[in-house]
Amino acid sequence: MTLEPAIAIRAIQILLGAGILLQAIEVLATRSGHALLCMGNRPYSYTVQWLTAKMLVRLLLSIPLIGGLSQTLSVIEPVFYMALIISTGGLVLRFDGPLGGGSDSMMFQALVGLLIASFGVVNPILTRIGLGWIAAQSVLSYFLAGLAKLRNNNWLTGIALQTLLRSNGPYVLLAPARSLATSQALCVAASWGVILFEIGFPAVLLLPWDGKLAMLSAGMFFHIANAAILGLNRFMWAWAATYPAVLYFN
Amino acid sequence: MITTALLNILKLFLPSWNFFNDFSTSHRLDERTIRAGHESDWQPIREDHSTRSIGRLFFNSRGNLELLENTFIDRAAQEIAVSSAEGVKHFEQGALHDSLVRILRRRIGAAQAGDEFQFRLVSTNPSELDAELFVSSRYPARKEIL
Repeated sequence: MTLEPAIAIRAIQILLGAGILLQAIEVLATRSGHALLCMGNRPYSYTVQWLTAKMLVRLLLSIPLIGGLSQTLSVIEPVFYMALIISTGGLVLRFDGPLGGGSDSMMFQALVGLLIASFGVVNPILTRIGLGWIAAQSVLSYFLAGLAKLRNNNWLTGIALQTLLRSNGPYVLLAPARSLATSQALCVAASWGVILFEIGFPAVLLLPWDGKLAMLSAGMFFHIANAAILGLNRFMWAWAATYPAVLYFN
Repeated sequence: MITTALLNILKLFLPSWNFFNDFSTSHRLDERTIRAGHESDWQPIREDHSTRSIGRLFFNSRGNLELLENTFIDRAAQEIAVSSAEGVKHFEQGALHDSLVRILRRRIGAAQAGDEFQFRLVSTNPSELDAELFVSSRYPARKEIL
């Protein structure tokens, strides 16, 4: 079975659009707190207005991404992606780093890939390159994270996970998750599960269709668990948005 | 400043994908109130919000703001850890320090007229004692954050 590039791109648009919409709504809901962090020497009220305008624009741009670009708007499809890319760059400059950490980084990569792919009408190879960019970032993100954990003895012995589950920062832990820290065996098993999944993720590009689906399902479970336990809900959407690109390369 | 901006943009295009690897050292912001010359005990700042629940799977605005604030706290700790005495003075006059003051004002409770607050940056490690990295000057605690 194969995934048509148009379907892969559509699926990425929907998932990415949902992630951008969620971020915009969440930041709007706490814009005063966000403005305090990025105002620098600028007036507070101006910063709140700037942030509100920024998020409203991103919210508006996410809607056609989710709903589908009409025939008319599809002509200016690259403009949508450029606007979101420039907007993300502006937020990074104002906050001295990605607003949402790794989730923003991956959403940015997906936007870059979609921008490249949108020029596929000029040369179809650009569609493959764009989807390839997104798939490569997805695979790299897991593999490099797994490699770093493999080199960290605290991860191999389950101590890193135990420390995380017992900590009071920086992640806002789901209360019942703390009880997992009492079992060293469980922490070791979970740690090795994460490491093997991450290190083994590049194999998804070589697996048959059913194997790909199984691997990506495991990935979604991983991100849902992180969203529930650590509060990293935007990561779920950011990485899910890359999965159609991974499926495309079958 | 331009170099930092360019570096941040470069990292956006070429992310390292190297995070969530080491939780052994984390950083914490403690605060204390000074009222009529009496200093309270140091208390870690805590966000008291309702999203420590499964609902944050779908919507976690305050949790994500807290994560961002923790990022600023980590940045401040890293800046101080590599700074000389001169560098620490520079930090006190910088935007990052001001952001921490605003985080405190947003999070600490209602103050009485004349109250002051102080904050400190602490490095925590399960296998070691907490290390105090920086103690701020005293600031007036007031209802307005700015």
